[in-house]
Parts: sequence; C-alpha cells; structure tokens
Amino acid sequence: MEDKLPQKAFGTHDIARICNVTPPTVINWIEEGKMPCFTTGGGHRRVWGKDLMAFMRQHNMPVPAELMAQAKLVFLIVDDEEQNRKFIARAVKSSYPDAEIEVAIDGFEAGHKICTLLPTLVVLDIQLPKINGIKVCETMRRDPGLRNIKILAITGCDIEESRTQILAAGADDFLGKPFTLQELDEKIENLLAHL
Amino acid sequence: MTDAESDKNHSSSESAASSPAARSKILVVDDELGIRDLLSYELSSHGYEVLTAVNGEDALEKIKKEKFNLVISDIKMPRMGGLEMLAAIKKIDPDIEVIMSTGYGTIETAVSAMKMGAYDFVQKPCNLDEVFSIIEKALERSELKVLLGVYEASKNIFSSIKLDELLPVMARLSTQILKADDASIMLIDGAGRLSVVASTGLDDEKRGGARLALGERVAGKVAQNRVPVIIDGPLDKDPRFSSINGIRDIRSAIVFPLVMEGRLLGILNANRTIREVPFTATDLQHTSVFCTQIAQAIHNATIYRELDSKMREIQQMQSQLVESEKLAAIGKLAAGVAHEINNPLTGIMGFAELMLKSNDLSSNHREDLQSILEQSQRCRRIVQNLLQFSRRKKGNYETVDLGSLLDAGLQLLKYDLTRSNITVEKRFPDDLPAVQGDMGQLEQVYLNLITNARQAMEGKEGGLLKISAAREADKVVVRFEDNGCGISPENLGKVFDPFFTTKEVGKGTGLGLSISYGIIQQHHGILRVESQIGKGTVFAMTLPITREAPGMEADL
Repeated sequence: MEDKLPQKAFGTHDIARICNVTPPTVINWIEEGKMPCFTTGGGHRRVWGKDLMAFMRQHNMPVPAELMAQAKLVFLIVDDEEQNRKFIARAVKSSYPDAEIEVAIDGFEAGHKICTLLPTLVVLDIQLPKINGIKVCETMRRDPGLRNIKILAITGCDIEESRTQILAAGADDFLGKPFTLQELDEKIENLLAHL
Repeated sequence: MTDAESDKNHSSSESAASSPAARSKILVVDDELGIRDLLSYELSSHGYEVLTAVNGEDALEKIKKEKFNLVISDIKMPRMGGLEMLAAIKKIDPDIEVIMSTGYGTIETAVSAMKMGAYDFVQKPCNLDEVFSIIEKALERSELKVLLGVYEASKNIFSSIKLDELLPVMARLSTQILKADDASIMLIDGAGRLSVVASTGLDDEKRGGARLALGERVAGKVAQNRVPVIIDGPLDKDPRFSSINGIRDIRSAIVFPLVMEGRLLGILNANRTIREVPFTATDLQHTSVFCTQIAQAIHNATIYRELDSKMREIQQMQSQLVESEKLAAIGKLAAGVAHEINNPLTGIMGFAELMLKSNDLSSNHREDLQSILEQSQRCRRIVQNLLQFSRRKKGNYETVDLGSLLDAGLQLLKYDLTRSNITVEKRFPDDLPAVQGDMGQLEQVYLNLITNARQAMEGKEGGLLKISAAREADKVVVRFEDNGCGISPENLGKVFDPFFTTKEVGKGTGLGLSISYGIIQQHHGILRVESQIGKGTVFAMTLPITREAPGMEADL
C-alpha cells in the first residue's frame, strides 16, 4: 500500500531532546534495532515520526504535542457488513475531516492493514469472517509495535459476556450495535484523549 | 391412667370389646309376681338377661340406669300404668322396643299403645311361643336400627373424601348410634399429639378441652393395647381422673381406638352425660363396627391428601419445567435474531442520523428522518430486551431488604400511580428476613409487577394495589394483589411467555413478565399468578432466605 502522507523524519539529536536522553542513547536504540531508521545520502540516521511515536508509546514515554500535531489520525474500520463500514467511515469522517480512514472486511485484511498502516484507532467488529475480532485484538496486544493502537470493539451481540470477553482480549472500549452518532463520537473522543 | 396394671383393678367397670357378644337385656314389668317370675324364668332360659320391675315408676328408674333392648309390660299397674310408662320410655330412649300385655285388653287400648310406639301387643294369658316370636322380631328390629346408622355412616365415608366435612358427620352419627350425649374424634398429628378434630354435643371450649384431657389420659393405654375401654362414672369420684376438671358430668364414657393397618390414628370418645344408663358391651360392639369405618375414612382421606399434594407438586414442577424449557428455546432463538437485527439496524439508524446532519433538508424530510430514527430506536430497545432476556446479566448478589427496595420502586412509579388514582397498601412485617439477590434485577421485577398492576387497573375507580410480604418457613413471599381487570383463564397460562401481551401496540413488549419470571427463577425462587376476570390478579413471588449466593449462571 502506497503511503501518500507527507512525513517528517527526526535526527538523533531531535530524538534525544524529545525523549529527554543523550544522543548516544538514541544511537544505541537504533543499533539495537529497537527503533527502525533509515540513512540519508550523507550517512545521517533518520527516524520517521510515526516510528518514533510508536516507540515512545511502546515504552510509555509521553508523546509531546509537537509530535502529535504533525502525526495524522488514521482510523481503520473493520466490519464485514458493507453498509456498516460505509456508515462508520462517514460518521468518523464528519467528526475528523482530516483523518485518514481505511476499511477492512474481515480479520485477515484487518491484520494486514493494521501492520502496514499503524492506525491510531481501530473500530473492530467482533464477529468477523476468517479471523474474528477477539483473535485480532489478542494478536495486536502481543505485538509490541501494535500494542498501543486503540481498539474500539463493536458487536451486534450487545450483552455483558461480549463486553467482558473483548475487553479481556485487549480492546480499549466496547460499543453495542446499533449505536447513535453521539455514542460513537464520545467513545472515539475518549480513546483519543488517552493516547 | 398411669399404667395398664392399675386398670385391671377396675375391670369390673370396664368391658373389653373382646368379651362375648352382649346378650339382649329385657325388662319385665308387671305388678303380679307370678307373671314376673314366669317370664323371667322362661326368658332367662332362652339366653336373655332379664330384670324385673313392679310398676312403671320402678321400670323407668331401671331404664335410666341401665340399657335395655326390650321391655315387656303390663298395661294396668298401680302407681304408673303401662301407657304412661311407654311414653316415658320412648322419651328416654326411642330405640327400646316395648311390648304391651294385658289381661283386659280391648282393641282401643291396643291401638293407643301401638300409636305411642309399642312394638306389639300380647293378650294374657300369654301364649309363650307367641311371646318369644314377638320378642325375637322386636330385638331384630332394634338391631337393625343401629345397623342402619352404621350403614348411613359408611355411605358418608365413601361419599366424601374431605376429612373436615366427614368427621363432624361421623361425630354426630356416633352420638346417634351410641345414644351418647357428646362425642369427639381426636387424631394424632405428625408430632404424636392428640387433638380434637371433630365433636358434637360440646358447645363450649372448656368441655371440649376436658374431653381432650380425658382422651390423652386414656389414649396411652388404648394405644398400647388397641382395646377400647368403657369408663363408668361418675368420673369425678374416680381417682384416675381426679386431676381432670370438667368431666364431672360424664356418667359413662367410651374411648375407642381408631386403628388402621396396625397403626393408631386417633380415638373416638363418646360420653353419656344426660342419659343415666351406662354404656354396655353391645354399645361397644356397635362402636367397633363404626370405628373401623371411621379409621378407614381417615386412612382414605390421608392417602388421598398425600396423593393430591404429590399430584400438585408434580403438576407444579411440570409447569415450571415447561415454562423454563419454553423460555430457554425462545431465548436461544431471540439471541440469534437479535444479533442479526442489530447489524442492519446500525445502518438504518446511522444513515438516518447522517442525513439529519445535512443542511439542505426540507422540514418534511427532516421529520421523516426523525421518524425513521425514533422507530429504529424502538427496535433497538426491543432487541435489547430480547438479548437481556435470552442471556441474563450475571447477578451481583448481595443482601437485599425487600421492603426498602419496594419503597424505592414505588417512589419511581409514584407519579404514574397517583395519576391512575391507585392506592397502594404496603404491608411488610418489620422482622421480614432479608434475601440474597441482585438489587437491580429484583427492582426490575418490582417495577414490572407494579406497572402491570397499574395497567390492569387503568381507568378504574378505586384501584387498590395491596403489596404484602410474609415469611413462610425458609422462604419470603411477596404478594402483589390488584383489583383490576383480571386475566382470562385462557390467557393465564401464557402470561410468562415472551412476547405475549394484551396491551395495545407500543405499550408493552410482552417481555416484562418473562424477564421477571427468569430473574426470580435465577434467584431460585418462584413467580406465580392467580387471577379472576373482573376481580383482579395476584402475583406471588417466593424467594428463599439463604446465606449463600445463588448460582451465577442463568439456566437458559
């Protein structure tokens, strides 16, 4: 999938400042493979903003506004029903006009897109073909690079057991179908406030 | 009576039923010694027990003291003549057969004697063969009368199985058959205690109590030997009964065991208080036949009652089983349907809302979209109820005070109840034990039942909802009694069915009572309904008083 987003890359000194460490520490992180990087033509190491954010979240470091501001919100909507994908996508778009919104129709496609897009938030239906939502949740929570992606689980089986099960699998919140725009907005807003 | 030994000393005044069948007792009344001697001799040699009296007065004295089967009397006698005596005898005991004899007989005297109840009429000088044949016939008839009473008793025994109807009849019949002045039937309850279950001729409680005391005193011995006793009075002189007050009036008493299949069920006590004649072995024999019938009746009734309660229990279990199976099946279906509906409903609600956000909508379109949204919200609530019904939330069990929970519920519905002019009468005892339960779920049941009652009394003058609670053994029962429209018998079996509603469209989902039923079942309780059309409905909810929390999983 082609990345159309304009991205900013950070040098080791910027990273050291953002993370409140010395530049050699940053170089260590890069050399130990903890932080993915690329090299400029001149041999300088650079780290993409989204990779830096993923690293900081992974290590529970506070992400400064400077980084947040230039990070684009990416939503992934996973539902096997086309009408639901369409509606949720439009609902999110109307609240976050600048966000990138992607959709997936089953657990397999969801997994693929989560890994490549590193979305900010996944709206995840539980009953999905191929790999169900619970499985997707568990996989994401085991992967350090995906652990911090917010998950809002949704299901037509709106009962206590579904909520308990999906929250235990690692979802951040739960919303029973059908829901109103307001309910969806509130849940997303709340999750984004706790990035 | 302390022990069986002491009774042996009184055997003279007590006859056991095992003694030889009583001989018929005949009283010969004549002022002529020769006739008395002749008849005495002849009758005695035929096996009758014979006593004599010299005139009417003398005869009556004897009849009051002793029981006679037959009187043979002269008509013309000094002091009191035969006809006067006949009238007096019939007053004392109408069953005593009287045969008149006279040497100066005329048809007129004979007719008047017969009219007064004499059995027959013999002319002196007597043809002894004729006399014997008449005596035999008269005695036969007297026996027949008693047997008729017993026959009537048996008819009663087999026509009614209800002890509370049967036993008073038995008590009454036993006074008639035994010519007693009062009779009581006492039964042994489960705890082995004797209590009076039916009595006749005992108008006040004190005398009844005295009979019970007498019964208790003798019951031990009767139970041990399974042998009836006759106790000759006056009882206040008898040291064995000296501690019992209120039996001074008993001149003669029979205490008879009611035994069935070797088990003592109780006793029958019959007493003579006005009649001076003591009970005889003949009476005891009649009692024996009679008491066998009573015992059989009690036995039958007990068996019937046990069977009846077993049947009820089975029926109740069966209906509960059917109800919960029905709920389980519908629950599964509902869960599946709910899930399938929620998905398309998400789209309907969502797109309607998205369209409503648009600025270029005509007001008509806006209204239409608003309707779509409202109707889909209604679907959402129905589906939510369905899901809740099919997979009930896990209970959060804690100690619940049903009384204060009700207050909270009533507070919530106060406005509705006042508006519908309904008076609520709450009667909860202060010491009502608490139950273990989920506060929220139990409140939901309260709200459902109160709302249903309110709707049943809607538009009625003087709507009254009585909510009462009581402890019953290890359970608490809360009753909701309304005087509303009631439920027809054909609908009564369906009220707990999901989606069954008689309310107009939109007023009820038909799930309230099913959910309530399920909640109470989950709490190991029972929700029952009784109703009479036009009179009102009672919902009774029974919950166990228990320390441990009920199972967390719903049965569905």
